[in-house]
Amino acid sequence: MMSKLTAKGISKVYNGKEVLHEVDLELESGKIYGLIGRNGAGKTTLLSMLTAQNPVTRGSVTLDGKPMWENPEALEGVCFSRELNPVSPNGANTMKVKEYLRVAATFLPHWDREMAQRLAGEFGLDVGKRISKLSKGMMSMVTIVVALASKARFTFLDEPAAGLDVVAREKFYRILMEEYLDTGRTFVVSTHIIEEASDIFEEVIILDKGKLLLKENTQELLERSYHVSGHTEEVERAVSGKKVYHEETMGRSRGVTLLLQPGEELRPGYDVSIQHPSLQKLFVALCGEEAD
Amino acid sequence: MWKRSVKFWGGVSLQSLGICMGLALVFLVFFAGGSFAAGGLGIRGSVGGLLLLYPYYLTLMGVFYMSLSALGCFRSYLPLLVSFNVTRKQAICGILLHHLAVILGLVGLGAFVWFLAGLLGGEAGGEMAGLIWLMGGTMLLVGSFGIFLGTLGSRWGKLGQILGVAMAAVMGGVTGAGVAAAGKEKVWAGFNRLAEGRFLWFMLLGLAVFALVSAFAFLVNRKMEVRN
Repeated sequence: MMSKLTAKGISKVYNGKEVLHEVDLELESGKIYGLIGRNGAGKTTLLSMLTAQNPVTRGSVTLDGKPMWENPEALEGVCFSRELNPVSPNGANTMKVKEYLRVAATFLPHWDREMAQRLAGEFGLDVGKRISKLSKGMMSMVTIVVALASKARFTFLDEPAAGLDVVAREKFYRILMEEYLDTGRTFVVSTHIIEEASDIFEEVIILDKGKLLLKENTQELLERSYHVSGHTEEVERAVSGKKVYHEETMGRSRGVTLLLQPGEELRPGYDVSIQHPSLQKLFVALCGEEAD
Repeated sequence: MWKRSVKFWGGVSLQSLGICMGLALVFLVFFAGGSFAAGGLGIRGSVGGLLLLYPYYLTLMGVFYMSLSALGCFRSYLPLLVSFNVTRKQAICGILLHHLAVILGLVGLGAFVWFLAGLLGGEAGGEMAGLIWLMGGTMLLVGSFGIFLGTLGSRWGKLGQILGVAMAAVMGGVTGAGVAAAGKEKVWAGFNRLAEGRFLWFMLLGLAVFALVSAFAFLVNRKMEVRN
C-alpha cells in the first residue's frame, strides 16, 4: 500500500521571524527526493517538522492520515538522521559512537544491527571514539549509518555528504541506491552538492527563503528548463515574453536561463544555442539573483 | 516504545545506582574505615560501624547525584531521545522515573543494610526507620530541585540554569534568615516535634514536591525543540 507523508500549510516562526511559510508537501513511498536550497532556506527546519522533532507554528503533518506530533505509531515510520554536533549543551559531546548507535538500536523499532555493523566497517568508523573527537566526515558517516540501518519507511538525511571526501560520497550514493532498490524505502536527502546527487533524485524539492519553490520529477524539470545563449539581440528575440531567471553577459554575448511552463515552447528560428542546464545551474538560476 | 524506554532507563538507573553505591563505599572506607580500625573495635565492631554509616554515605552520594544528574538528562538525553522518535511525554517520564528509581534504590539499600545490621528492630528501630524517611525525603527534595533546574536549562539554556541557581540562593537566604530570626532553641523544638512523626511526613513532602516539579517539567517541555 502506498504510504504518504503529508504536510499541509506548515509554517514556522522563530522570534517573530517566519522561517518557513505555508509549505504544502506530499511525499510518497518508494522515491528518493532531493531537498535543495540555499543556506538558511529552511531545509533543516522543514525536515525537523516533517519528523515531529520540532513543532509547527501553523499547519499539520500526517503520515497516512495519522498526525505525526507526539504519536509513537506514526513516528515509527520515520527516521530523521540529523547532523551530529561535537558539542552538547553540557560541553563536549563525550558520547561514544557505539553508545550513540546503541541508543538508536534501542529506540528505532526496525533497527538492523547487522547492517549498522557492516556499514560502520565499510566506512572505517571507529565506534569506540567519542563524537567530540570525530572529524566532520566521520560524523556524517555516523548519521548515514543511523539513517540506513533504521530501516524506516521514510528516512530523512540532512546534508549527509557534508565533510565526506569524494570516495566516501560515491560509496554513500552507491549504498543508498542499493538500499533503495532492495527495500523501496523513501529517502529525502538534503544536500548542497547538487551535481553529484542529482542523478539519484527521482524528484527534487527546492526551498527558497522559507517557501516551497517547486517539487517536481527531476527529469521533467530539466526537460522544461533551457539555457539560451548567443548574440545579445538574438537571445532577446528568442526569449521575448518568457520569464528569465538568470542572465550572464559577456561583451555582446548573452546567456539566459528559462524555466518554461508545461506546454510552453521556445520559438524556433533564432541563431542561438539552446541547451538543457544541469540541476545545479538551474538551481543557481532560480535561487540566485533574479534577472530584471 | 514503553518497553524500549524501560530497557534504556533501566540500564541507566542500574549504572547510576552502581556508581552511587561504589562511591559511597569508597568514601565510607576512606573517611571512616581508618577511625574504626584505629579505635580498636576489631573486625566485627568495625563492620558494624561501617554498616551503620553506609546508608548515610549512600544518601550523601544520592544527594550529590540528584543535584547534578537531572540537568544532564534534560539537556542531553531529552533531545537525544526525541531525535530517535521518543515522544516528549515518554522521554520526560523516563527521566523522572529514573530519578525515582535511583532514590528508591538507595533508600531501599540503606534500609536493607540497617536490617542486616539488626538496627531496625525494637524501640530504636523506629527512630532508625524514621531516618530512612528523612534520607528519602532529602533525596527527593534535592532531586526535585535538580529536575527544576534541568527543566529551566532545557527550555532557556544557560539563562535558565542561572535563574534556577539564583532562585535557590534566594530561598536559601530567606530560610537561613528565618532560622536565625527564630533562634536555635525554637528551631530544635520544632525539629523534635516533627521527628516524633518519624519523618514520614518529610518523605511525603518530598514526593509532593517531586510531583509538582514533574508537572512543571511536562508543561515546559511539551513543545521542546531538537536543535543541532
